[in-house]
Formats: sequence, structure tokens, C-alpha cells
Amino acid sequence: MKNPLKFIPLILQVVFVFIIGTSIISYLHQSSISKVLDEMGEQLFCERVKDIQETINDLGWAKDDLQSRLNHILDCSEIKRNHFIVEICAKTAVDSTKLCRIVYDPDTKNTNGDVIIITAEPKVLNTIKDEINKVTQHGIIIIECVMMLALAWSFFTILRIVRSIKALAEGKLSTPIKEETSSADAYWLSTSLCTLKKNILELIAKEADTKVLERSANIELDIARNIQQDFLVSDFKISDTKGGLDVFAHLETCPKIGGDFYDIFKLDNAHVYLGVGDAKGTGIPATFAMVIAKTMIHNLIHKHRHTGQAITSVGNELSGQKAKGCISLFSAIINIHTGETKYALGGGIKAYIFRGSQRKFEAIRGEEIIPGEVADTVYSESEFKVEAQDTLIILSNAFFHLMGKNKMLIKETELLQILENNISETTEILTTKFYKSVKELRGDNDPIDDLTACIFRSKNIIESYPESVPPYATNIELNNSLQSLPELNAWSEEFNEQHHVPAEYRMPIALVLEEWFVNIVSYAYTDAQPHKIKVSTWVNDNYLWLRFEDDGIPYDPTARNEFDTDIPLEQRNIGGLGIHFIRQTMDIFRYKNENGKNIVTIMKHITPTQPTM
Amino acid sequence: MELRNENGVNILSMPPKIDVLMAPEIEKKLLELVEANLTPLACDFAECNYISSAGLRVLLVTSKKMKVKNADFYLFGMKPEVFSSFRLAGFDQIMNIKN
Repeated sequence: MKNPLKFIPLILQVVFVFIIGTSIISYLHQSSISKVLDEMGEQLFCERVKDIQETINDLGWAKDDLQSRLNHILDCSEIKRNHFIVEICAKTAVDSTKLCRIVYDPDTKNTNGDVIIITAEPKVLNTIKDEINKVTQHGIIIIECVMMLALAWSFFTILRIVRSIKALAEGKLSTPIKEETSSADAYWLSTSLCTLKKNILELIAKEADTKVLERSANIELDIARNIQQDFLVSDFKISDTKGGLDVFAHLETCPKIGGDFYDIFKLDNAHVYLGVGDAKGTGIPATFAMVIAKTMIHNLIHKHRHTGQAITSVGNELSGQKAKGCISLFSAIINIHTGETKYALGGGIKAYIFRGSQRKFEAIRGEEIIPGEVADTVYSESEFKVEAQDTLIILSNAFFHLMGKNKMLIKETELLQILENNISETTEILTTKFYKSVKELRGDNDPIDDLTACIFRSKNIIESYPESVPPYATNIELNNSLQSLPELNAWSEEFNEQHHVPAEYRMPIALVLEEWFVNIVSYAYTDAQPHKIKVSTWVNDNYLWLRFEDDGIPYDPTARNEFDTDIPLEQRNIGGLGIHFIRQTMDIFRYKNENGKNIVTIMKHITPTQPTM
Repeated sequence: MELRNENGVNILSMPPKIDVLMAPEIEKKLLELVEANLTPLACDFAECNYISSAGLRVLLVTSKKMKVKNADFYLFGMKPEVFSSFRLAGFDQIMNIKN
């Protein structure tokens, strides 16, 4: 009886296959092999895939790239699986037209993989499919063999083969599979099992490849960590006790590297730039978004000094890229003498001013759309003013998604309370205590993103800005002629001598006097009539003031674009250099038009030694 | 402003103060030297304590003209406060300054 099935009509054959098949499935089920099957299937096809998919989701930015790599791996095993089917088909001499292959679309998440069963009737096919689904979604290859098992006739052969299958199903891949010779079917079945074993071993090897992929993901995180750490120090400090400037920034990277950054630099003598960035996602993609944003903003702020434009440009750059990246950004240019701040904010970074006089936090508002998220979003520049007793605090988004020890989200009010409790400390101690207290609150819960804090304070900030010339000022009136310049110089030198202005400030003061006086004489008048230019100077505490008043055509020099110092020699023009000098060397440079007169007020903060940064 | 020749280099001494009133005189002298093809040409800043944008403009104009002629032109001997004006203007990047 080489093949008794060939004497049975096709329909009965199918029913026969079905009954034996399901009974063996239920046997497998009872002997809890199905569980093993399930686990094996999970392990082989699902778990790693899921892991990788989660990793990809976390990575976010390079999704396209990693997805294609993953697909490549899946494609390989797909080819292998198809090959396997063809092999079985050839060895069992089953007509390939009777092989029906059901492919479950992984996107629908019903199952992961292929189910192959032998049948010719769609109705029966569906029943078997249901049965298979009852037992497992993933034990595909084994199920296929179980179906073939039904084709084998010898009971003892079946027992041996069942044992082999059981060993296989339990993952005992070293168990030898005996080549059955009692019948052609048994022979083909046992050799098919050998092939199956070989394929499982290959799949396991493939899984090892997956581990390699995982390992490479870890390498990627290391690279990301290195980029981030090379790009910035974890702590930054300006502590200028004499000048009163006190700035501290700290960045604590999360395990997956969140792509945070901060950037603090002196724009000129009076202005400090504070920037904080918080890239969406983690790893290398986030780090790249961070590097792009930090570099772009740094350069744009130096060039145009417009925080809104800088963030808008970064947003456009990132949203224009194929691999989408977006990054929350806070940018502020602070005049450390007046506290006047121009800023722009996009995304989830939070900024607060702690008002020392009222002991109250004031939240700074921004645009909620993350730069890079939506193309052509415009981030506008707004203003606020920091007073001498105030503290400016910028916190990255991750602070507001921290899980506390009590499994509750740490609240904003809790964070602000910690800050307020320590507000009298220097910014460095305040930051250290803040991180420590937050750590106590969150316990062992890792942050999902980098934790960055940047705290600014300036005791330099002047109490009030002089709207008019004080009575104790020294004044001079000059004709609108370049020939009056020596008179102006002599007048200023005498004043500086009397008020013991340190020598290192005298050259810059003379420079500023000349630059602005020459500008008025050269450009303010369109008629040939003589005009008087009034110049005043006074010293108040450690502040030296200069004030120009002219009746020429209205002109606001402070509104002039930044002088570009990066243009090559051939294209260089000298226009605007005088204003550039005033901006760069003085601490306050203000313009107002009052009663038809141009009034320019300039201040220089004078200390025995210049603040260094 | 004294012009001297040291090892084949034509050196013009800069005055102590280069302001808007002094600049035209220096410009006239430097342009004469450029026209006369006196190369290499150098400006000695050892005596100079002050330079405003008017003075920088003259040196910029001279540098441009010399570059067109492909002739060697450099500045040297600057005090730190004078160099800081050049640096603030970004001229340290585009002019040949030797110290």
C-alpha cells in the first residue's frame, strides 16, 4: 500500500486529511506543544521583528532607512520560505497546483507570516485555516508538516515522526531525525523534516543576524552619544561675580540619546545669546537634527540677530529634508545691562521668568508647532524684560514627562516648587539641587528624553534707563562739521580724566564718539544750513553714558542690519562699520525720536577689569 | 608719514591717530604709492594708537587696489587696541596683518 489515498475520491481525501490533521493538532494542543510552537513561532518570526519595529519607531527619524533594511531581512526569509515550499512540493510529489498558500499581510497585524496547507477545496481550506488560527498564528512550518503527517500511513512510523516533530517543536534541534523507509510518503516526510530542521537552524542563524542589527543599533546610540558629547560639554558656566552675570546650563543625556543641546555665547559686549534645543526622537536622527539646528542658529544669530528668523530657517531646513526631523527650540538674545530680551520659542521647551520682586513664575509663551514639523511655519520674535532680581529658567520638554516613584507623572508645579525653594542659590547650585530633587522624585525611572536646564541671571541689569539728561551731566554743543571733532575729543578726554575712567575704556569711547558724530555730520543734514549737535556725558555708579541729540533727518541706527564681517575683500564695503563698532564695544545703544530730534543714548559699563566669558 | 625702504619693502609709517580728519591724507599718500607701483608695500603701525572706521576704509581701498594689481601689501606692528578695531571689522580675515 504505497499510497492508499490514491484510491479514495478527492473529496474524501480532503476530509480525511482534515480529520487526521485537526486531531493531531488537538493532540499537539493537549500536550501543550502548541504553546511551545507558539513560543517558537513568536521567537522566530515575531519577537525580534517587533523589537526591531519598536526600535525603529523610537528612532523615528531614520525610519525609512531602517525599515528598508528590515524589509530586506524579511525579504530574505520570505525567499527562503518560498524555496522551502517548492522543496517540500518536489519531495512529497504533491502537485503544486494543490498547494494553496495563504499570505497574511503583516500590515493588518492578523498574523506574521505564511500559512501553507494542502487542499483543493476553498471551503475546507477556510475551516483548516480557522483551526490553525485557533492553535497558533505563528507555528506555520510545523503545521504544514502535521498536515503532511496525515499522509503517512504506518502507525509506528507516525509515532517516530511525531517524536521527531515534538523534539523539533520543543526546540531540541540536536535530536537526529531518522530517515523512514517504510513507505515513500514516510520517506519524503522524514527527509522533509530534516529539511525543516535545516531551515529552522537557518532561521535561528538569521535571528542571530537580527541580534547583529540590534547590536548595530547600540553602536548607533554610542555614535549619537559621542556626537552629542563632542558637540557640547555637559555643564556650562558663566560666573562673573563682579559684573553680576550668573549663567549655568546642564544637560543629562537619557539612555537613548535625545538630541538636546544648549548654546550660550557672547554676541557682543552687552548681549548674551541663550539657546536650548530638544530634538524629537532619539539616537542618531535626533543627534543630526540637533547638530543641524545648533550650527544653523549659531551662524544665523551671529549674522542677523533675529531669533524668530533663525528658528524659522531651521524649521524650513528640517521640514524640507527627506528624512523628517524636528526640534523644539528656544532662542533668546539678552542685553545683560538692560535685561531687554528678544526671543522666539517653538515646540515643547518651557521657559519661565521667576520674578524676584513678586516671588512668582511667569511662563514665556511661544509657538506650539515644533520647528521642522510643519513646513513654512513662521516663528515670530517677541520680547520680555528680565530685572536684576529675576531668574530666567529654560527646561527641556522631558522634565514634564517624568514618571515619579509613585507611578504618577511629576507635575509642573512640583518642579517649579523645587526651583523656588532654591532660588536664592547661584545658578550652578540651583541647577545641581534641581536635578538632585528631580532624581529623588523619579527614583529609578529613566527619563525618555534628555534633561536640559539653562538658568540665567544678571545683577548688572540697571534699575532704570535715563529718559533725559541728568542735571549733573556735562554737555557740549558742536557745529555740524568734521572740523569740530578735535573739540569733541578734547571735551571727552577732560571728562574721562576728571572721572577717572580707566585707560582701557578711553579708546573705545573716543571711537564711538567719532563714529556717531561723523555719521550725523555726514548723513543727517540735507541742507547747507549750520546745525548744532548736542552731546552729553555722565557717570552714574559704574555706568558711563553718552548722549547725542541732533535735528537732522530721522534715522534709527539701532535698526540697521548687522554688519557682515564674513564678506571677502573684493565685495567689502565700509558702510555700517561705525554702527557695528558701537554695537560691539558698548553695552547700551538706544535710539528715540523726540520732538523731531534724533536722540542716541550709549552706555558703557565700567569695571576695573572687563568681564570675561 | 615717513616712507622708508627695508630689504626691498616700501614701508609707510602710520601716524599716532588715524581719524576722519587724518584719513584723507593717508589715502592720498597710499594711492600715490599704489599708482607708482611701489611693491611690496607695507604700513607700519608701531606709532599708531587709534584708528576709526574712516582709517579702516582707506586701508580697505588700498588693499582692494593692490589685490587687483596682484601686488603684495601688508600691515604690521599693531598695538592690541588698534588690532581690536581691525578684528571687530573682520579685517583681520581679509587683510594681511603681520605682528
